[in-house]
Amino acid sequence: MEKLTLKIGEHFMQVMCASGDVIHMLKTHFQYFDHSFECQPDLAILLEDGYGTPFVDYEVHILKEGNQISFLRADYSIQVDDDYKQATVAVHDELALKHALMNLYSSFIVHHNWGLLIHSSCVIEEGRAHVFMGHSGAGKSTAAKLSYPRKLLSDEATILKITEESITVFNSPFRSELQSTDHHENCPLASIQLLEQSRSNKRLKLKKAEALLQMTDKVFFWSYRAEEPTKILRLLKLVVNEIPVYELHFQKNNTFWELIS
Amino acid sequence: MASYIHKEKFEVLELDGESVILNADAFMVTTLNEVGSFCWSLLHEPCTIRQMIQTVQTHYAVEDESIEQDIEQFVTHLMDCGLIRHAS
Repeated sequence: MEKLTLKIGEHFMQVMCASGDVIHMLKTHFQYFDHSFECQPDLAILLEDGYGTPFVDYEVHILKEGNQISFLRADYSIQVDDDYKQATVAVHDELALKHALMNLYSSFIVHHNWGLLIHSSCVIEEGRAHVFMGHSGAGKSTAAKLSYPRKLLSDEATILKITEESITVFNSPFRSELQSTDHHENCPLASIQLLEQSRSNKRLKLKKAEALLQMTDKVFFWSYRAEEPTKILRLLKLVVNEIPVYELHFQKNNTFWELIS
Repeated sequence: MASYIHKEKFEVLELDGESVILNADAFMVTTLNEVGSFCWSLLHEPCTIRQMIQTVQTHYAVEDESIEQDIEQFVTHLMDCGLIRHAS
Protein backbone atom coordinates (compact mmCIF):
# COMPACT_ATOMS: atom_id res chain seq x y z
CA MET A 1 0.00 0.00 0.00
CA GLU A 2 1.51 3.35 -1.07
CA LYS A 3 0.70 6.71 0.51
CA LEU A 4 0.59 9.89 -1.56
CA THR A 5 -0.63 13.36 -0.72
CA LEU A 6 -2.29 15.15 -3.63
CA LYS A 7 -2.70 18.91 -3.64
CA ILE A 8 -5.81 20.16 -5.45
CA GLY A 9 -6.68 23.83 -5.11
CA GLU A 10 -5.68 24.65 -1.54
CA HIS A 11 -6.53 21.17 -0.29
CA PHE A 12 -4.39 18.21 0.70
CA MET A 13 -5.87 14.81 -0.14
CA GLN A 14 -4.08 11.84 1.41
CA VAL A 15 -4.42 8.80 -0.84
CA MET A 16 -3.73 5.20 0.21
CA CYS A 17 -3.58 2.81 -2.73
CA ALA A 18 -2.17 -0.66 -3.45
CA SER A 19 -2.40 -0.41 -7.25
CA GLY A 20 0.80 0.61 -9.01
CA ASP A 21 -1.19 1.59 -12.12
CA VAL A 22 -3.43 3.97 -10.17
CA ILE A 23 -0.47 5.48 -8.33
CA HIS A 24 1.25 6.05 -11.68
CA MET A 25 -1.86 7.81 -13.07
CA LEU A 26 -2.04 10.06 -10.02
CA LYS A 27 1.64 10.96 -10.23
CA THR A 28 1.21 11.77 -13.94
CA HIS A 29 -1.70 14.17 -13.57
CA PHE A 30 -1.63 15.61 -10.05
CA GLN A 31 0.68 17.70 -7.93
CA TYR A 32 1.78 15.24 -5.24
CA PHE A 33 4.02 14.71 -2.25
CA ASP A 34 5.40 11.28 -1.33
CA HIS A 35 4.96 9.29 1.89
CA SER A 36 7.51 11.44 3.79
CA PHE A 37 5.23 14.50 3.55
CA GLU A 38 3.55 15.13 6.89
CA CYS A 39 0.40 17.23 7.16
CA GLN A 40 -3.13 16.95 8.43
CA PRO A 41 -5.06 16.04 5.25
CA ASP A 42 -8.32 17.76 4.40
CA LEU A 43 -9.64 14.45 3.09
CA ALA A 44 -8.27 10.88 3.40
CA ILE A 45 -9.02 8.63 0.42
CA LEU A 46 -8.66 4.86 0.21
CA LEU A 47 -8.36 4.18 -3.52
CA GLU A 48 -8.93 0.80 -5.19
CA ASP A 49 -9.03 -0.45 -8.75
CA GLY A 50 -10.82 -3.39 -10.38
CA TYR A 51 -14.29 -1.92 -9.94
CA GLY A 52 -17.26 -2.28 -12.31
CA THR A 53 -17.27 -2.04 -16.10
CA PRO A 54 -15.83 0.41 -18.66
CA PHE A 55 -17.65 3.76 -19.08
CA VAL A 56 -21.34 3.35 -19.95
CA ASP A 57 -22.81 6.83 -19.41
CA TYR A 58 -22.61 9.84 -17.09
CA GLU A 59 -25.53 8.72 -14.92
CA VAL A 60 -24.54 8.85 -11.23
CA HIS A 61 -26.79 7.29 -8.60
CA ILE A 62 -26.60 8.95 -5.22
CA LEU A 63 -27.52 7.25 -1.96
CA LYS A 64 -27.51 8.58 1.58
CA GLU A 65 -27.46 5.97 4.34
CA GLY A 66 -26.68 7.06 7.89
CA ASN A 67 -23.67 9.35 7.71
CA GLN A 68 -22.44 7.84 4.43
CA ILE A 69 -23.02 9.32 0.98
CA SER A 70 -22.49 7.06 -2.05
CA PHE A 71 -21.97 8.17 -5.65
CA LEU A 72 -22.29 5.18 -7.96
CA ARG A 73 -21.55 4.97 -11.68
CA ALA A 74 -20.96 1.86 -13.82
CA ASP A 75 -17.21 2.51 -13.75
CA TYR A 76 -16.71 4.05 -10.31
CA SER A 77 -17.97 4.07 -6.76
CA ILE A 78 -17.42 6.70 -4.06
CA GLN A 79 -18.33 6.38 -0.39
CA VAL A 80 -17.72 9.46 1.73
CA ASP A 81 -18.82 10.44 5.22
CA ASP A 82 -21.07 13.47 5.38
CA ASP A 83 -18.32 15.59 7.01
CA TYR A 84 -16.14 14.90 3.96
CA LYS A 85 -13.19 13.65 6.04
CA GLN A 86 -12.80 10.08 4.76
CA ALA A 87 -13.66 8.50 1.43
CA THR A 88 -13.32 5.16 -0.30
CA VAL A 89 -13.08 5.33 -4.08
CA ALA A 90 -13.10 2.30 -6.41
CA VAL A 91 -12.51 2.72 -10.15
CA HIS A 92 -12.42 0.66 -13.32
CA ASP A 93 -9.82 2.57 -15.35
CA GLU A 94 -8.09 5.94 -15.87
CA LEU A 95 -11.22 7.72 -17.15
CA ALA A 96 -13.18 6.47 -14.16
CA LEU A 97 -10.40 7.64 -11.82
CA LYS A 98 -10.47 11.15 -13.28
CA HIS A 99 -14.25 11.43 -13.20
CA ALA A 100 -14.52 9.95 -9.70
CA LEU A 101 -11.99 12.41 -8.31
CA MET A 102 -13.79 15.29 -10.08
CA ASN A 103 -17.06 14.12 -8.55
CA LEU A 104 -15.52 13.84 -5.09
CA TYR A 105 -13.58 17.12 -5.24
CA SER A 106 -16.59 19.07 -6.57
CA SER A 107 -18.79 17.72 -3.77
CA PHE A 108 -16.03 18.42 -1.22
CA ILE A 109 -15.59 22.10 -2.15
CA VAL A 110 -19.34 22.75 -2.27
CA HIS A 111 -19.75 21.01 1.10
CA HIS A 112 -17.18 23.42 2.57
CA ASN A 113 -18.66 26.39 0.70
CA TRP A 114 -15.14 26.93 -0.64
CA GLY A 115 -15.91 27.18 -4.34
CA LEU A 116 -17.04 25.47 -7.53
CA LEU A 117 -15.74 23.25 -10.31
CA ILE A 118 -16.91 24.77 -13.59
CA HIS A 119 -17.10 23.11 -17.01
CA SER A 120 -14.79 25.52 -18.84
CA SER A 121 -11.24 26.34 -19.88
CA CYS A 122 -9.20 29.11 -18.29
CA VAL A 123 -6.30 31.17 -19.66
CA ILE A 124 -3.87 33.55 -17.93
CA GLU A 125 -3.27 36.96 -19.53
CA GLU A 126 -0.96 39.39 -17.71
CA GLY A 127 -1.46 37.72 -14.34
CA ARG A 128 -5.26 37.60 -14.55
CA ALA A 129 -7.47 34.62 -15.37
CA HIS A 130 -10.12 34.55 -18.10
CA VAL A 131 -12.64 31.71 -18.22
CA PHE A 132 -14.21 30.33 -21.42
CA MET A 133 -17.39 28.32 -21.04
CA GLY A 134 -20.11 27.08 -23.33
CA HIS A 135 -22.21 24.13 -24.32
CA SER A 136 -20.50 21.01 -25.62
CA GLY A 137 -18.73 21.86 -28.88
CA ALA A 138 -18.92 25.64 -28.35
CA GLY A 139 -15.14 25.94 -28.41
CA LYS A 140 -13.79 25.80 -24.84
CA SER A 141 -10.74 23.75 -25.74
CA THR A 142 -10.44 25.50 -29.13
CA ALA A 143 -10.25 28.88 -27.36
CA ALA A 144 -7.66 27.41 -24.99
CA LYS A 145 -5.52 26.11 -27.88
CA LEU A 146 -5.85 29.40 -29.81
CA SER A 147 -4.62 31.25 -26.71
CA TYR A 148 -1.12 29.73 -26.92
CA PRO A 149 1.49 30.77 -25.73
CA ARG A 150 -0.54 32.07 -22.79
CA LYS A 151 -0.58 29.64 -19.85
CA LEU A 152 -3.65 27.57 -19.07
CA LEU A 153 -5.16 26.92 -15.66
CA SER A 154 -7.66 24.44 -17.11
CA ASP A 155 -8.93 23.07 -20.41
CA GLU A 156 -12.06 21.27 -19.16
CA ALA A 157 -12.83 21.85 -15.48
CA THR A 158 -11.92 25.15 -13.80
CA ILE A 159 -11.41 25.32 -10.02
CA LEU A 160 -12.85 28.55 -8.60
CA LYS A 161 -12.28 29.63 -4.99
CA ILE A 162 -15.13 31.96 -4.14
CA THR A 163 -15.21 34.42 -1.24
CA GLU A 164 -17.00 37.73 -0.63
CA GLU A 165 -13.73 39.53 -1.32
CA SER A 166 -12.31 37.74 -4.33
CA ILE A 167 -12.61 34.96 -6.89
CA THR A 168 -9.41 32.98 -7.50
CA VAL A 169 -8.72 30.33 -10.14
CA PHE A 170 -6.46 27.42 -9.19
CA ASN A 171 -4.56 25.24 -11.60
CA SER A 172 -6.77 22.27 -12.44
CA PRO A 173 -5.43 18.70 -12.64
CA PHE A 174 -8.71 17.64 -14.28
CA ARG A 175 -7.54 18.02 -17.88
CA SER A 176 -8.95 16.89 -21.19
CA GLU A 177 -5.89 17.04 -23.45
CA LEU A 178 -3.70 20.07 -22.66
CA GLN A 179 -1.55 19.02 -19.72
CA SER A 180 -0.53 21.34 -16.94
CA THR A 181 2.92 22.90 -16.97
CA ASP A 182 2.87 24.64 -13.59
CA HIS A 183 0.90 23.03 -10.75
CA HIS A 184 1.52 25.89 -8.35
CA GLU A 185 -0.11 28.68 -10.31
CA ASN A 186 -3.28 30.49 -9.29
CA CYS A 187 -4.68 33.84 -10.43
CA PRO A 188 -7.46 36.29 -9.65
CA LEU A 189 -10.38 35.84 -12.02
CA ALA A 190 -10.90 38.84 -14.35
CA SER A 191 -13.66 37.77 -16.75
CA ILE A 192 -15.94 34.97 -17.92
CA GLN A 193 -16.82 34.36 -21.57
CA LEU A 194 -19.77 32.31 -22.81
CA LEU A 195 -18.62 31.08 -26.21
CA GLU A 196 -20.36 31.12 -29.57
CA GLN A 197 -18.32 30.39 -32.70
CA SER A 198 -19.00 33.08 -35.32
CA ARG A 199 -17.71 34.70 -38.53
CA SER A 200 -16.80 37.87 -36.63
CA ASN A 201 -15.65 38.74 -33.14
CA LYS A 202 -18.08 40.45 -30.80
CA ARG A 203 -18.30 40.63 -27.00
CA LEU A 204 -21.52 41.58 -25.18
CA LYS A 205 -21.76 42.00 -21.41
CA LEU A 206 -24.60 40.02 -19.85
CA LYS A 207 -26.86 41.22 -17.07
CA LYS A 208 -26.06 39.52 -13.78
CA ALA A 209 -29.27 37.48 -13.57
CA GLU A 210 -28.81 36.18 -17.11
CA ALA A 211 -25.13 35.45 -16.40
CA LEU A 212 -26.04 33.45 -13.31
CA LEU A 213 -28.71 31.52 -15.23
CA GLN A 214 -26.22 30.68 -18.00
CA MET A 215 -23.68 29.42 -15.46
CA THR A 216 -25.98 27.11 -13.50
CA ASP A 217 -25.66 24.16 -15.89
CA LYS A 218 -21.88 24.60 -16.24
CA VAL A 219 -21.19 23.57 -12.64
CA PHE A 220 -19.95 20.01 -12.16
CA PHE A 221 -22.17 18.79 -9.38
CA TRP A 222 -24.09 15.76 -8.21
CA SER A 223 -26.64 16.78 -5.61
CA TYR A 224 -28.00 14.51 -2.91
CA ARG A 225 -30.18 16.98 -1.02
CA ALA A 226 -32.16 20.15 -1.74
CA GLU A 227 -29.78 22.43 0.21
CA GLU A 228 -26.93 21.84 -2.21
CA PRO A 229 -28.37 23.72 -5.25
CA THR A 230 -29.06 26.67 -2.93
CA LYS A 231 -25.40 26.72 -1.85
CA ILE A 232 -24.31 26.60 -5.49
CA LEU A 233 -26.65 29.44 -6.42
CA ARG A 234 -25.30 31.62 -3.60
CA LEU A 235 -21.73 30.94 -4.69
CA LEU A 236 -22.63 31.80 -8.30
CA LYS A 237 -24.21 35.04 -7.08
CA LEU A 238 -20.87 36.03 -5.51
CA VAL A 239 -19.19 35.28 -8.84
CA VAL A 240 -21.53 37.36 -11.04
CA ASN A 241 -21.50 40.22 -8.51
CA GLU A 242 -17.70 40.41 -8.71
CA ILE A 243 -16.83 39.30 -12.23
CA PRO A 244 -18.15 40.56 -15.59
CA VAL A 245 -19.69 37.81 -17.73
CA TYR A 246 -19.75 38.23 -21.51
CA GLU A 247 -21.22 36.48 -24.50
CA LEU A 248 -18.20 36.08 -26.80
CA HIS A 249 -18.82 35.46 -30.50
CA PHE A 250 -15.43 34.44 -31.83
CA GLN A 251 -13.67 33.50 -35.05
CA LYS A 252 -11.51 30.39 -34.99
CA ASN A 253 -8.28 32.35 -34.61
CA ASN A 254 -6.61 34.28 -31.81
CA THR A 255 -7.99 37.74 -32.73
CA PHE A 256 -10.72 37.46 -30.09
CA TRP A 257 -8.05 38.33 -27.52
CA GLU A 258 -8.18 41.93 -28.81
CA LEU A 259 -11.63 42.15 -27.17
CA ILE A 260 -10.46 40.71 -23.84
CA SER A 261 -7.06 42.20 -23.03
CA MET B 1 -61.77 36.23 -8.90
CA ALA B 2 -58.90 33.77 -8.41
CA SER B 3 -56.02 34.95 -6.29
CA TYR B 4 -52.48 33.63 -6.27
CA ILE B 5 -49.64 33.32 -3.76
CA HIS B 6 -46.08 31.93 -3.60
CA LYS B 7 -46.20 28.15 -3.44
CA GLU B 8 -43.52 28.01 -0.73
CA LYS B 9 -40.51 29.95 0.49
CA PHE B 10 -38.06 29.86 -2.40
CA GLU B 11 -34.46 31.01 -2.50
CA VAL B 12 -34.59 34.38 -4.29
CA LEU B 13 -31.44 36.27 -5.27
CA GLU B 14 -31.63 39.97 -6.16
CA LEU B 15 -29.20 41.10 -8.87
CA ASP B 16 -29.32 44.71 -10.09
CA GLY B 17 -33.11 44.91 -9.77
CA GLU B 18 -33.68 41.52 -11.40
CA SER B 19 -34.39 38.30 -9.54
CA VAL B 20 -33.30 34.69 -9.77
CA ILE B 21 -35.65 32.17 -8.14
CA LEU B 22 -34.54 28.65 -7.31
CA ASN B 23 -37.04 25.83 -7.09
CA ALA B 24 -34.57 23.41 -5.51
CA ASP B 25 -36.91 20.42 -5.47
CA ALA B 26 -37.39 20.67 -9.23
CA PHE B 27 -33.76 21.77 -9.92
CA MET B 28 -35.23 24.74 -11.80
CA VAL B 29 -34.01 28.34 -11.93
CA THR B 30 -36.23 31.19 -13.14
CA THR B 31 -35.10 34.77 -13.81
CA LEU B 32 -37.39 37.76 -13.54
CA ASN B 33 -36.77 41.24 -14.92
CA GLU B 34 -37.45 44.37 -12.88
CA VAL B 35 -41.22 44.44 -13.46
CA GLY B 36 -41.45 40.68 -12.95
CA SER B 37 -39.57 41.06 -9.67
CA PHE B 38 -42.03 43.74 -8.58
CA CYS B 39 -44.98 41.49 -9.44
CA TRP B 40 -43.31 38.58 -7.62
CA SER B 41 -43.06 40.75 -4.49
CA LEU B 42 -46.85 41.28 -4.60
CA LEU B 43 -47.39 37.53 -4.42
CA HIS B 44 -46.07 37.24 -0.87
CA GLU B 45 -49.75 37.65 -0.02
CA PRO B 46 -52.82 36.47 -1.95
CA CYS B 47 -53.22 38.70 -4.99
CA THR B 48 -55.59 38.64 -7.97
CA ILE B 49 -54.52 39.41 -11.52
CA ARG B 50 -56.74 42.53 -11.40
CA GLN B 51 -55.01 43.76 -8.22
CA MET B 52 -51.61 43.08 -9.78
CA ILE B 53 -52.48 45.03 -12.92
CA GLN B 54 -53.73 48.01 -10.92
CA THR B 55 -50.68 48.01 -8.64
CA VAL B 56 -48.28 47.83 -11.58
CA GLN B 57 -50.15 50.64 -13.40
CA THR B 58 -49.93 52.81 -10.29
CA HIS B 59 -46.32 51.97 -9.43
CA TYR B 60 -44.99 52.55 -12.95
CA ALA B 61 -47.51 55.32 -13.82
CA VAL B 62 -48.71 53.55 -16.97
CA GLU B 63 -52.19 53.08 -18.34
CA ASP B 64 -51.23 50.83 -21.22
CA GLU B 65 -53.85 48.07 -21.45
CA SER B 66 -51.39 45.67 -23.04
CA ILE B 67 -49.88 45.03 -19.61
CA GLU B 68 -53.05 43.10 -18.73
CA GLN B 69 -52.12 40.43 -21.25
CA ASP B 70 -48.48 40.52 -20.10
CA ILE B 71 -49.43 39.98 -16.48
CA GLU B 72 -51.87 37.19 -17.31
CA GLN B 73 -49.06 35.46 -19.22
CA PHE B 74 -46.66 36.12 -16.35
CA VAL B 75 -49.00 34.48 -13.84
CA THR B 76 -49.54 31.50 -16.18
CA HIS B 77 -45.77 31.16 -16.54
CA LEU B 78 -45.22 31.19 -12.77
CA MET B 79 -47.95 28.55 -12.38
CA ASP B 80 -46.29 26.41 -15.08
CA CYS B 81 -42.96 26.76 -13.24
CA GLY B 82 -44.57 25.61 -9.99
CA LEU B 83 -43.64 28.84 -8.20
CA ILE B 84 -47.16 30.03 -7.27
CA ARG B 85 -50.49 28.41 -6.45
CA HIS B 86 -54.12 29.41 -6.10
CA ALA B 87 -54.63 31.00 -2.71
CA SER B 88 -57.45 29.24 -0.92
